[in-house]
Amino acid sequence: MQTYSKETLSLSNKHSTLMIDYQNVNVTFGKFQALNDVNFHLNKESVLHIVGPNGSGKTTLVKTLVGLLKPSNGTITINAEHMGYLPQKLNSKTNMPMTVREVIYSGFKKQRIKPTKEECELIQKWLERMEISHLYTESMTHLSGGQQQRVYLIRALISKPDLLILDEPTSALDPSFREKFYLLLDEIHDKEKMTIVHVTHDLTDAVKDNCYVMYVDQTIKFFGTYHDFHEFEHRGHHHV
Amino acid sequence: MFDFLSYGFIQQAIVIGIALALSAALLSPFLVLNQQAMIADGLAHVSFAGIILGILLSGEALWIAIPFVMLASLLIKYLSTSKTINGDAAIGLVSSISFAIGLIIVKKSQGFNISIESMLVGNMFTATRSEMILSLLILLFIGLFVLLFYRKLFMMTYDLNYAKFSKINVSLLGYLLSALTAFFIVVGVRTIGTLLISALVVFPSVISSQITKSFKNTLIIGVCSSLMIVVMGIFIAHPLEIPVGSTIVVIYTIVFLLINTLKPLWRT
Repeated sequence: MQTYSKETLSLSNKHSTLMIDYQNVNVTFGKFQALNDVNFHLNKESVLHIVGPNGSGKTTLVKTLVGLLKPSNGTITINAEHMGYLPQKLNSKTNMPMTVREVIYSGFKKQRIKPTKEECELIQKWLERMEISHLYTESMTHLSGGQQQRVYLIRALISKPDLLILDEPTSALDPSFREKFYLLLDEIHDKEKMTIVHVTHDLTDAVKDNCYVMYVDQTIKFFGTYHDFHEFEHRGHHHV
Repeated sequence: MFDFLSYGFIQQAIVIGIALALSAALLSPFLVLNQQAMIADGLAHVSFAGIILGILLSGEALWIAIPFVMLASLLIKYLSTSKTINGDAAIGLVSSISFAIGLIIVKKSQGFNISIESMLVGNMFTATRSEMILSLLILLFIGLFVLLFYRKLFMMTYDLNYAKFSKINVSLLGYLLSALTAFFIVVGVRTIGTLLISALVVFPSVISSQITKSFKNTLIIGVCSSLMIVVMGIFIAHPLEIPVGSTIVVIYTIVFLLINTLKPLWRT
């Protein structure tokens, strides 16, 4: 378990049912308050969809979750053995010589100079699941945005994380694969018992009734089940 | 034809050339592909002041120049990560100040008997034994650094945020990379020259990334091609009595142009 706060980072109980716990979290950039008094907790094996308007602090929230940003105040506790992360902004270095295999291999927890046969087979299996097995030795620069996003998703999943964080994962995917992507995510969640935190603009594709939804606009305006979120939405608070 | 190989100073030049070429090619992808190619050029300018200070203050210039340039490299790294100014602006700032100070010291110092030209273009054939030992030492340090941290350095190069997320100490590795680059530059400036040393860092990755799709092969091809080009440069420069550093840079350029011309052919 990891606890990020302004001053502390500690490890604790891995048998807890709690996966994420935010207490009085604030993030400020100079005078601008990006997140204001964020409090929530999420149990293991849950699926949470985070929605909100542009510039509402969704990506800031995700960055605090993955440890890229420390809160200005408050405490964040993550009870994950291993996290997988698909960032919103993917690598945009156009001249970088690197193959699909090299990128996916960097998602393994322990990396050797040369991948083992088993590791190569696992990479190949995931590429087949994502329907890009023909790209195994291809250069990343030759891939479309959607294909790149699938590669980075495999990188996030390859070491079987117990907490998967996806920041707008379908933004570059074509509509036909988007549907498959969510079916695949459901399958992974059911099979691997993974906790999933998913930031999205398009809630309709993603949600099942037993999921949680969080509406963020600098602070948490709504946190509850998808069913309750419908009521919140109908009361005219916002449209997603 | 190769009688000149029996001379001790030629053998020493070959050892230095190989050690520097391998060191530069090992650093190359982690700097060039991370948009830090100009750090080598900037540090070469800093080393100009460092070596001048070293000559004035001590009998052995490198004892002053190495820590001086290493400190400057850490300052550049600190300025570029502190978000006060951009990385390229930090390089420009620190290198131009150092170069200016170096020139002022040369002008004002009495009895400064080293020609500026020899410092700018360097001379591999007049290198000392201690410079040869330092070249081998820097190869050992850089080789170990790349071997031990290859995966982490690769992640830092292609996706810094993902490297941070993966709990890689990007700050420490970044400072180590800068310090080793500085060490290499100071040793290399005396033999290859202030103006040309950065070419040894820039060309290997620029050339190899034209040929291969993979990061690992970029490193391997860069190392092999540099080795051949530097040895070839020494063999051509000595009989023709032309500067080794300049010859190496010209060969690098010819190879780069050849690859770019032939690339469309082998793709078809």
